[in-house]
Amino acid sequence: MPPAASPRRASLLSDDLVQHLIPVGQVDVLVGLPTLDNVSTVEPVVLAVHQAIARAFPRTRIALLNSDGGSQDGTQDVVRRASSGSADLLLASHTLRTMHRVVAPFHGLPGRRAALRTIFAAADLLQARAVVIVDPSAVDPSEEVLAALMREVLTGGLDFVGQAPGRHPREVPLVTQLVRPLLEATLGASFDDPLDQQFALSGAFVARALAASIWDDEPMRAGIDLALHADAIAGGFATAQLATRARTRVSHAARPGVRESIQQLVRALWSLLGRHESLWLDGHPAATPRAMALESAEAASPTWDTAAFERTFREGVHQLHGIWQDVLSPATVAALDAATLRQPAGLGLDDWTEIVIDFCVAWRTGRFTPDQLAGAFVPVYFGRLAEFVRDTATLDAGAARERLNRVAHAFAAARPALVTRWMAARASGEHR
Amino acid sequence: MPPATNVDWYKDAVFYQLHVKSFADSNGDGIGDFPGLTSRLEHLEQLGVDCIWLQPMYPSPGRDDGYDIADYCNVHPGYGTLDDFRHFLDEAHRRGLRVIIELVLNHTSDQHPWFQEARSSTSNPKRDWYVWSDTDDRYRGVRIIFLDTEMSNWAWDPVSRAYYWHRFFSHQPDLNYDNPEVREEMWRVMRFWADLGVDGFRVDAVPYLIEREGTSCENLPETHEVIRTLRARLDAHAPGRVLLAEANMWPEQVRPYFGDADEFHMAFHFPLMPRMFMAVRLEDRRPLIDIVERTPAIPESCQWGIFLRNHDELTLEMVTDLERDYMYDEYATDPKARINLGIRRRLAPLLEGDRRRIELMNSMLMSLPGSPFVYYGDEIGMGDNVFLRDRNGVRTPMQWSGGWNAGFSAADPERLWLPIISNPVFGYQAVNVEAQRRNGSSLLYWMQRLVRVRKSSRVFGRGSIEFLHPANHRVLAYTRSLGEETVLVVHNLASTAQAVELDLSSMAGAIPIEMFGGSIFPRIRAHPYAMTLGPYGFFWFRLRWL
Amino acid sequence: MIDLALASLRQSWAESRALLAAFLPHLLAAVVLALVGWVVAAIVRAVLRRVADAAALRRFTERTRVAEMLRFAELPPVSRMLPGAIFWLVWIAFLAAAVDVLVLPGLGSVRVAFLDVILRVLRATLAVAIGVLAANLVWRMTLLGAFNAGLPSPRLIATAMRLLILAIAVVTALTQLGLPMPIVLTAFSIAFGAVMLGLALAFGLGGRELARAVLEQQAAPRPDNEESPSHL
Repeated sequence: MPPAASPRRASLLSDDLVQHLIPVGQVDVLVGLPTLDNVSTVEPVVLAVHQAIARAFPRTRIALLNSDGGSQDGTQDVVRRASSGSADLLLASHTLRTMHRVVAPFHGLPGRRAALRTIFAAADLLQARAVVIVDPSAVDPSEEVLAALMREVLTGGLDFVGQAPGRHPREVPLVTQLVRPLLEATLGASFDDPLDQQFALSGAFVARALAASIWDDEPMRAGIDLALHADAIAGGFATAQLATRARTRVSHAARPGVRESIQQLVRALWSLLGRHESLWLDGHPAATPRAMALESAEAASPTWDTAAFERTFREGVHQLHGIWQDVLSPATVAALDAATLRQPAGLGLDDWTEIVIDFCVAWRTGRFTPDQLAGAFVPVYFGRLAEFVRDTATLDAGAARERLNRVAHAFAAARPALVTRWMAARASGEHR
Repeated sequence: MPPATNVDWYKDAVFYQLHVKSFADSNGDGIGDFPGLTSRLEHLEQLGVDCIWLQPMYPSPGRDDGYDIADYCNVHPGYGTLDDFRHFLDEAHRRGLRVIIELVLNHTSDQHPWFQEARSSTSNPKRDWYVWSDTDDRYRGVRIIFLDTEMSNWAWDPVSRAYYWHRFFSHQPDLNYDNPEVREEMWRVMRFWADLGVDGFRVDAVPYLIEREGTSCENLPETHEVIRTLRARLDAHAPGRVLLAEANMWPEQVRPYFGDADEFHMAFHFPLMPRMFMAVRLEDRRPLIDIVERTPAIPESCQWGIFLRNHDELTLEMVTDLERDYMYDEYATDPKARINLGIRRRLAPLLEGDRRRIELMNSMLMSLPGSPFVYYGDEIGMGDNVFLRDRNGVRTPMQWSGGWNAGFSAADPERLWLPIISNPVFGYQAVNVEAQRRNGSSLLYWMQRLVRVRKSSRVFGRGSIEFLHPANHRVLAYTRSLGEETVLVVHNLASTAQAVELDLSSMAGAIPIEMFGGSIFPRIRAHPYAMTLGPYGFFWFRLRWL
Repeated sequence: MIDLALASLRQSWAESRALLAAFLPHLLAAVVLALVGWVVAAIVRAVLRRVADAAALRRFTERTRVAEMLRFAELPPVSRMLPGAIFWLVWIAFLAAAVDVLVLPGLGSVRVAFLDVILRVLRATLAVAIGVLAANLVWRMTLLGAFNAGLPSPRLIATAMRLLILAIAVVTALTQLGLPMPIVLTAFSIAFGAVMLGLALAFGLGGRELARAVLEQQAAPRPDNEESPSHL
């Protein structure tokens, strides 16, 4: 009898899936396809995976695992069909080996995180040297990108290869105004898009990630991609990011609205900072992911409705009166009020960094539920968004990118204050 | 230097035992030497072993295979110079290999200057470094170890006209450890080698250091005191060095030499070895389980040294008469193969060159509790020569290639210190390193993989062992566990295919992953786990709760 | 006459002396009991503080979210509150015993009444405390939830919820204090009715336009202009 210390976890892999994995055996690469209602896009994605393997890795031991998060739209049938019936399409270029395509039955845990965890556990079981997580919702999947992701881990000695989609600097403002600069100011580095859903990992990274607390931590449920990207940086792994075209993504899964998404993301972000606090408070900056060029594309500037943002900002700050003094320092409350009165309303960079730090510190004191804090954060974000969008409205891409650098600098400059106040919050006796 | 961070490196290490004089000869004099050994270190690095144990390499008249030392702070001129040794040590360390050397504490050669001085006159300051008596009736009743050659433990010295005490051969007078000067001098010797960078000492003939009237003069408390002092001084002066005891006794008798982790770090487990051979021949796990289960617990930082074969005979001292007769009948039908209370043969000839049995035995060696010792040449399945004197048949030159003198030496074959094995089955033209390096399915490559798999988990060096008791007695199965890691090992001891049902209900939910190939086996359930094994087949499974 | 007066004076002096003599030991015993009670309670508190500091309890309170609730109500953590509460409970038990010793035969009902009052006050306090805690919690949750769900007037909704919960708490406390149930219920109904009537009038007469606007805003699909292109 082994000692009681043995990890008797609940099964991560269903018996049915294990039965399917036994004939697969040890592989070099596991291609993981976490799906959730992707019926309209998944077929070309599966074909792209097959093409990538057939063209670039015909000799390598590869398995494709589709782990579904509970699709209702027949995604799994499409994957099954695309995998088995693709012989004709692949006639011109085929692999030497039997390629196993496993469709993991839904294991009763909905969502992307559960799907990823299944893929990770399977990769660990199959002792895969490389794992590629494929985005099932890209409308124009690229076999070159998939092959490059695979190659960099399998033969390039890297542990985590992400993508740097070539977007216009005015796009994904939640990433550019908050996630990226905050990660850079704390951990010391960040992927261009730490929320990207397509990346490749080494077996070593997968084993480490599987043992991390990100799978049971509630705030990480919706922030699993962020957690993996950040863990790769914080864990000192060899990382890189491939410059690719930004792809349009289509998903039929019921997605949360923008306010809910913002809340989910900031909760995950705070939880992440808390998890790595011993690392970033010490101030050993992590290495920046190595940049690799693959595709280049000029993206068009998106159009935003500034008036709506201003409205949300004004109304939110007004309605949530009574909450602000609990979360923010008196000076910041005054600045916030002033920002709503200005014409046009919006949050300048200095006020924004100050407020973000206030929120981080408030989270660390533990005097609020993360849910409440995240709820209060929503109107503030719209204040910043209004200002940023207006500020960059007439700028070309280069000048707009320069604005993003300013955000990064502002956060970097605020780092000492964040560290000091975070430590004070930690020392105040409360704990997370 | 190899990584010095972990002071208990020996718990995970795989050791490799070799004779300098049999390994590689660089200067064509027919005797192996340190430059030769240094040039062959790559072989050991590729094999994946962690530590080299050198047989005695001191200046010696050579009447007991070097265990009769004539100078403790030098190397045998035939093996090279002290500088050659230093260079060898540096090279080994550079490759991540550690080195432990022999240290004979109990006695010296009668040619040692200390004894020469001691016998020169009764008033010589070194006189009291040895044990003298005017009569031969002190310590009566103490057993004589080499009954074949010695009549008494006392020998008459015609020069100083007195008897001197010797537990081994009469040309090996015992040092007097009641004399503080002797203790101080032996510490000086240890410090000398430790300062050179040696990673530890295999201490020979440990139980006999002190004599007391009315006792067996073995395992006395005072002897333990000597060891404790040396250990403490070594730990303080050079941490991370290992002391390995040679004491051919039952494990419960050896246990005191670990002390409270303040005497030896390691000791050989002698009785395990013959029982591994016995179990395979009997096709029955019983002898093996018996001996492992009667092995007492040892302190956390201590470790057993286990081995299949070494430079001595396959000793049958630690078995019953019944067992010894069985072993002789099965493994030494030729009386020439028998010597003392044992069998002077190497691993491969003992197992009739059967690759499957060689692999099975090595699998047991590498998965049972303890740090394994591989005897040089056994990694390629070298043969032996029972027609050579004493146990020299298992000490013949290493077979490096199919060329001149098996690549061991450029000397004329007649000059070699021992003839090379040249029979058609185990001869150097059939069995040599070069040929096996060119063949991906050779025993050498298989051993290399075995060592690598063993080193992939610390469970083998540090984990607990629990035997399973399936109804089929031909199947030896056990789990090794350390913290969160569990490994299941299953051996078929029989020459025929076997089916077995293992009760693994306490591990229900785990998925076994075969460690050599990475294949996945069906998940373990509460009901018996059925398995089939080919002749002498075995599995190592890493259990994962996924 | 004087004799009589003297005699009665003497007698009453003797009586009061006897009374005093009979009472003094009780008083002494009561004081001793109160003191011993304080010491015992203090010891219990000290022990509890040490135990409560243990990580196990902290983990337990974190897991059961007790700690989180206390934090929102801005109360000290369990590790500090629990020992304090137990201290008072233990001491009050001793004080009750002291009163028991103090009262002379025939005055037993005083002690019962004393205990009864203490218990009622304790229960009422608890009801109000829980009410305040819950009201604050619900206020914040409702405010943030309503705002981010895009509901009209989140502050109004949240304040209404808070008042409602406070009112229920006060009613519960009053009932605990022993006020007759019908009176409390009637008072509550009148107050509640008044508020409802006021709201109905306000919406029905004064705020018809506003009410329509609110309803229209609710029924109409939410503007999508916050959503696109994509924030993340």
